[in-house]
Amino acid sequence: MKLTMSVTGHGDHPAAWRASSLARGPGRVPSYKGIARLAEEGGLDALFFLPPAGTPDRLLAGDGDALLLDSMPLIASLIAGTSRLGLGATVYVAHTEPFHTARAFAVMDNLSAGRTAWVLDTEGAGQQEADFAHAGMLDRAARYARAAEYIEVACKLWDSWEDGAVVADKASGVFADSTKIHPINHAGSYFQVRGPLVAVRPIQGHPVIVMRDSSEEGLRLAAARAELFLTDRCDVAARLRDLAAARPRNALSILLNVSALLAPTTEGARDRAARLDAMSDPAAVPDQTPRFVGTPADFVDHLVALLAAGDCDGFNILPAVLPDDAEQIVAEVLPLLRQRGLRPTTATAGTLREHLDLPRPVSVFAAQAA
Amino acid sequence: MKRQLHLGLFIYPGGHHIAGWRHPTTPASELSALSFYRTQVQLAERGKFDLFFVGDTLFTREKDGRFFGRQATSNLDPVSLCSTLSGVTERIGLVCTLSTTYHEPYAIASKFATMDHVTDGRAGWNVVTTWEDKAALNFNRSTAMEKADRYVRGREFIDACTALWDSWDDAALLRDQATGRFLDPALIRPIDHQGDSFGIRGPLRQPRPVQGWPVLVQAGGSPPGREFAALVAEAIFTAQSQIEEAKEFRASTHARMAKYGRRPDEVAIMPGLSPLLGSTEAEVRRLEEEIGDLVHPEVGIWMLSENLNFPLYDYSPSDRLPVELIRQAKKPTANADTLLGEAERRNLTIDGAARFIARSRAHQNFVGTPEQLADLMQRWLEEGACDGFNVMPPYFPNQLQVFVEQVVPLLQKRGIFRTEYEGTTLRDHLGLARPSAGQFQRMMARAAAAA
Repeated sequence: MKLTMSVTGHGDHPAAWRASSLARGPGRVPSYKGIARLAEEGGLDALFFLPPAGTPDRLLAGDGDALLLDSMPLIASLIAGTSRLGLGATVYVAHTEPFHTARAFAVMDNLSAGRTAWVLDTEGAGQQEADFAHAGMLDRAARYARAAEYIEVACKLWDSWEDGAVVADKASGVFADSTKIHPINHAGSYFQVRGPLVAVRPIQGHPVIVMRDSSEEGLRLAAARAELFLTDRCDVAARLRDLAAARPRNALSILLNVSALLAPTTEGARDRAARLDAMSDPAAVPDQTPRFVGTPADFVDHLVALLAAGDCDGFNILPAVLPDDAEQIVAEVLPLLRQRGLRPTTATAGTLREHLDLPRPVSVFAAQAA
Repeated sequence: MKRQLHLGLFIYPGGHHIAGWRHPTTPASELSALSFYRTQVQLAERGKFDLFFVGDTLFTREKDGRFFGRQATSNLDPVSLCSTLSGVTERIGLVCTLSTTYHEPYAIASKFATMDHVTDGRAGWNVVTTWEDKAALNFNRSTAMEKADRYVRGREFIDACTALWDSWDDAALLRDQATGRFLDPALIRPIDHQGDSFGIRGPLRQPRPVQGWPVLVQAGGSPPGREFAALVAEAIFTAQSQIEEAKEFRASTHARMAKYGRRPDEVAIMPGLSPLLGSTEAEVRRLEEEIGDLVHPEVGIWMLSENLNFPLYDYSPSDRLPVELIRQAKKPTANADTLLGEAERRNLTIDGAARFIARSRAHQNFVGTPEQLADLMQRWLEEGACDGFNVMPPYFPNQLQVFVEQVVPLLQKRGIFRTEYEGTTLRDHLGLARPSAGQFQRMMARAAAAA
């Protein structure tokens, strides 16, 4: 099974911050270096940083679940301390430029030797339009059309440098083969971008493209473009499979989100849950993700059962409280999964794509030349 | 204690010499890999540099509409690179260039706030505006914004960003797990910025940066650029190749700052300096010839044409550089002007100008021994020409290593450079105070009242 972990703030539970012993920097924001090391030790495929459930207005009301760091510099800061773990950052596409997003991922993908994932935020989860009031807001249909074009531009920019464009031939004085570096000359409804990118091709060709918008428009976009889809619900997974039927089966993996609140005994887990629930602000945004409360062993059985139901390719685990539940996942859950042959027993090198068994995109320009 | 030098390491793919990537000691096929950057930044930190600096360009440099393949390039995304390198360093500051022309204030403020948090207070922002039409083509425009407009937008941009960084009081984050008070809502405010270019509600969704704001750096030498620097800059990365010009620049900068109520010690002026170092005069001459020989004939002319925004492909290398024609054709940027000044001063031919610019664009070049370089740096510091230098090695890691191992100890022995880091943040290294909330807005108001 494919297995990723998502973190937001101090954990998935709205009251997680009240129970969390996550390390903090001098600015007192959570530090995720320990979580990244843990996830890598546990052999997880990737760590994703997702926006919180809490909205900006909730922040102004004092809600700790509304903290939001920019996940691009955040994952970058975790690259040097890891060597096998995939790292996914969320980009809000409505008010960013594909050129900037493309170059950031190209740089991070090269620096990390091919371990990046791009999580698209098409809903503005946790953002507010009022922070970009001057830019105006598109209607719903236009937002998704723009997002589709955004992905198209980013992919063309990642392709603009073909693999092997850099030759670094000191003798002849040729650093790069200019016939392998292409302007993209994109002229669309929402973007006009000449290119080429100011960065060589990502090691993975493209970062792995992750989506999680389960609206009808979001699913249609995912059906066309996502390589990983994160969903709370099996029926959404099934719908997406239908929509994506024309694509090769291995081109899109669907992971079910499961929040994990664990303890050595079932009673202990229920106590933890009760205490956390009691500490939650009644006005907090309710969590949609299915929550598992119980022992690591029972959690494994739960995952196995879900996997057998057939709609998903694996799971995206949301630890209820960091670092506690992440620690239990690595120390207790992963070994059981390995024993059952559901996770690899030895760590392998390679890119995130290779770990997820996703095909590596060929540059559209190379394809044209061929 | 004597005045101290500040040192920055200005990274550049392959080195600041256009042919640096061809040097036998340069790992030219690794210029996109972490290993290359890790080596350079760790060397700089060993050398107790204040900061590591990454420039930015938003378009590729071309010839005849295609990428010019004889130049080295690497991956350019300053915030990603600097944030990554925070994981292999402890103290050195990390300064990223980002343009106010093609970004959103909310996104930049958020990005730098997080970067300052994950680096434990080592972030700096070199605030630039983007003038090239070629960059515009990557951002849905066909031409660049007019210069005056760029700086007006830039001022409003900084107004909005500083307001966002100030939107959480330093004491706002409570994290009281027992009582459930995560933050004090009274100490966080939307900014409700309404200006000509931007409408931004705010607040940021993260606590105030460790440093209050990232250190604000400026690098444009044009008149609006210098005025912008007087208002905003806490460090200035300038291009001054002559000591008298440098003194004049520093003095006039201080004078300009006064009308915003800012003092000279609130800015560190650091001109670029590209040193080619050898242990003896003979070795230095050999190295100079060696790197000069690596400049491919096509490359120098291309570089000149690009930098001066004036095609010189039809000229002969022995022709005099047509300085007057170039000035008339298009108003040169500050950097181009410096080059043209140099060409006039030394009556350079096309070939001579090309060799000059092959070295470090418009910044000061130095060729000599470590002892001679230390003399120059000390003289500039003591005569008030600068507060430090942005070091631009012609090729990496070799020339950086010589600087760190042979020049830094001389500066330290002379008592003009630190032997250990004392503070932990970039502000500490540069001797800058932590800004108080509302500081930028008060300065703007003071200037408006004085006008």
